[in-house]
Amino acid sequence: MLKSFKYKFILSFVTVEIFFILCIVSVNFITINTSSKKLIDSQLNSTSVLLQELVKAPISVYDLATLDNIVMKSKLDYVNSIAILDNQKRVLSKNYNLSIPFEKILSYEDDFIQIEGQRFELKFKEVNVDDLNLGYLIIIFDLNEFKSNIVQNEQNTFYLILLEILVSTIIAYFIGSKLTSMLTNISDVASKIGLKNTHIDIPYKEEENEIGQLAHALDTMQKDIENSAQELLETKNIFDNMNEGMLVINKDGMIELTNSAFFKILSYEKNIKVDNNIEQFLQHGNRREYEKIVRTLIKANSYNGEFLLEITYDIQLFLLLNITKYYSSNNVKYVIIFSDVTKTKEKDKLLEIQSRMAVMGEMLGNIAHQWRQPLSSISYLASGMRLQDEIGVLDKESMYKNCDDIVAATKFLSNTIEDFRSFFRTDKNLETFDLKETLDKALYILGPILKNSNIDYEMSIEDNIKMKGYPNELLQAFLNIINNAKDVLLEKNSLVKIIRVKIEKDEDKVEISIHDNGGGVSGKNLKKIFEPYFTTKHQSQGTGIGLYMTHTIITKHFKGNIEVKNMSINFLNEEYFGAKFIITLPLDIEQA
Amino acid sequence: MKKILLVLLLTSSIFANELVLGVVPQQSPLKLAKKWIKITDYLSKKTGQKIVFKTENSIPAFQKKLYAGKYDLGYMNPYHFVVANKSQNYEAKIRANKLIKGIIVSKEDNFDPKNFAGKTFLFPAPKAFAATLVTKYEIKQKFGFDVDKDAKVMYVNSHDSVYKGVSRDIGDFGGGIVRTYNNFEKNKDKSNIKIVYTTSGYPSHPIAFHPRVSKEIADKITQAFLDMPDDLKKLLSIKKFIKTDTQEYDVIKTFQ
Repeated sequence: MLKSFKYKFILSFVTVEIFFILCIVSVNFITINTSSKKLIDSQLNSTSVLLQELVKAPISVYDLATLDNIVMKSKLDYVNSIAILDNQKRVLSKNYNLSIPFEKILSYEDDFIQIEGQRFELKFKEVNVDDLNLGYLIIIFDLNEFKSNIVQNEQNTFYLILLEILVSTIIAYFIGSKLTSMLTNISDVASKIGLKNTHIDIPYKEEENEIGQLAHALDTMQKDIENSAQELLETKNIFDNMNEGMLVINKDGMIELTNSAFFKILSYEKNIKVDNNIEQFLQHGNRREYEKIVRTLIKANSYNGEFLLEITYDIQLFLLLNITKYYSSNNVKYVIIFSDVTKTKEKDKLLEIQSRMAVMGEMLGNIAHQWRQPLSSISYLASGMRLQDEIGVLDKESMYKNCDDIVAATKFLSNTIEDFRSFFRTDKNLETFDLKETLDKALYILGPILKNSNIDYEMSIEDNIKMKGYPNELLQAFLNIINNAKDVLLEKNSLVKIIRVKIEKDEDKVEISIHDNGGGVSGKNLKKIFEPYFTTKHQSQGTGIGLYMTHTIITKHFKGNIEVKNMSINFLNEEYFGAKFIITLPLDIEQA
Repeated sequence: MKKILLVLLLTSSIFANELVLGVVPQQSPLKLAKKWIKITDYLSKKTGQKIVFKTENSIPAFQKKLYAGKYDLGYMNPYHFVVANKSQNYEAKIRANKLIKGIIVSKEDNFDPKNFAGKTFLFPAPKAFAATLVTKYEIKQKFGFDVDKDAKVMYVNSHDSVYKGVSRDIGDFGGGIVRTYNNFEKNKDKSNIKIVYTTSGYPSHPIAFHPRVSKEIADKITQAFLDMPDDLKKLLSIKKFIKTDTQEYDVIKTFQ
């Protein structure tokens, strides 16, 4: 209760008042008692001296009537009895009012008389003129009423103090209650601000005092809170309605905030049980990837990448993660936004297969073309030897030479098969490879077709450009672009058909440009050229997968960039116009 | 009282030919003024002569003025008159019709002048006419006892003090007059004492005129006193005024 401002106020008010009242009353009591004693002593002396002077003349002539007048009729304060004696101590006049016999008074030696608990002051004065004694004056003062009045006065003062304290307490209680009731009301209102989305009318705004200022401050605060709540609600709606899952974790990995998509992506159909700690959630994923994320976030403020989350042995989720580190009240926190790209991944795989099938078709054509020459040679040599034998001109030396040629041709065929088999290998191990050797394979594969198509193909490249990545995927991407250029050039069927490949190495990246003179890509198609199933070729030729797969390989797998521009190209001092694909690749995708 | 004195002073300075009536201060000047201003107003109206009241703070002061002839006319005790007549030729014209008698009080029942010797006699004042002079005179004349020589005499200022002194054994005998004795408050003191001797009657306080007052004016004033309404006379505790003359007071001369 004492913690209440109201009771503190009352206690302080009353304590201070009591303190000052006690101080004032104590000082007053002391002053009054001292002053009263002095005053009464002075008055008793004055009365004694006055009576002495008054009785001098009457005593001297025994004017008893005058003495009686003085004794009986003088209304002197606090005088109880007066007696006047002549110098022979005969009583000339007296007004005696005490209960004990007057004669006893004459023998009193003390200067007071105590009767029934009451004290009377006794003055025995000589009445002298010069040195002549005329008589004696006995005055008995009754100060009991005076003292009783002082006691009564003190009692009245005490009661007044009690009344004052009571009234003060009531006033303090009233003022304290009034003040604190306003504060309490304001406090109650303040505690309701922000609850249940209700607007509360703040009282006491019209008060022109601190309470009014507080009410105005609360009103402003309420408006700010309402605005903030509205913004928060809108933000929450945005978060809850976004397709990406979102969660906020603290530095210990404890999940503090999630949105609807979080549960939708992870719990809907998947029936995943999310623990409170992100580590238990992520440990279902690729441990190596998880540790990599943690390492990255120690150094950097953000992380972008994919994460494979194994829900069960047969259910996996591919998540695209964006993790941003931020500070809230000096505490590190992470906001993780993720999207489920599992279906996209599956679609990409399908597209990849389709692409490979298409490329395989292309390659089978190439194989067929490659095999035509050796098969013809084998057929010619075999049929030549049979004819020479039938006509009897087959000598042993010719037969051995022809057999060697046939073996060489079959070896060529075998090598060709091996080359294509390695091309279609599906393993995706990260490895260091020589860029020129990889791109030469494309020339080896496409060379005969390009030659038959009268396409002038030229590639300029430095030796010993070592890269870390997936060489077969890069070869596939390269073949797609070359094939695309070849198809365009054949479709245009120009007299001059050229493809120029140029590779330039920088400090940590390499730029590959493939430029043809096929007339370029129309403006409206430039933005769509890397979209899946987009093609300008005839239905029988194009699948719309090749350039999409190329874009995926370059950007996702190699973390590189690919763009296409329409540019002129010089050939034998003549300017031609065509599309130029520019591929930028990091030399080491692990450090990209 | 200050107002009254101021009025007195003013009136005495305004009227140049006014007459001054001096009154012996046997009571306080205030009490006297209340009574005698009504009397002088009456006399002024009645005679057409402005008459103003005058008194003093004490009898000695009054005597001094009287004997110096400061008053045109005066109300005084018989002894004062005798002296004033001798010194200033004041002439008595009017007095109250009753005679003044002195009394002797004592606690003892038996009045025996033989026992006077060595006793203490209380009197109000040495020249108190009835209480002192008359009683001393008659004790000497009738009993041959000279109080002043053969007894102890104390002058105790007032008749009441005389009576109280006798009652309280301060004195054995006391001189007074019947009126003051009767007026003496009935208490223990009064019950202790009694009147043991009463003197013969003597002319009371006269109204006496200074010789400078013309006979015509003196007669007018005398007649006005004689014609005074009862309510005014009652103020002075006098039932009736009668004419007198200076010779009636010759007996007083022997008191000295």
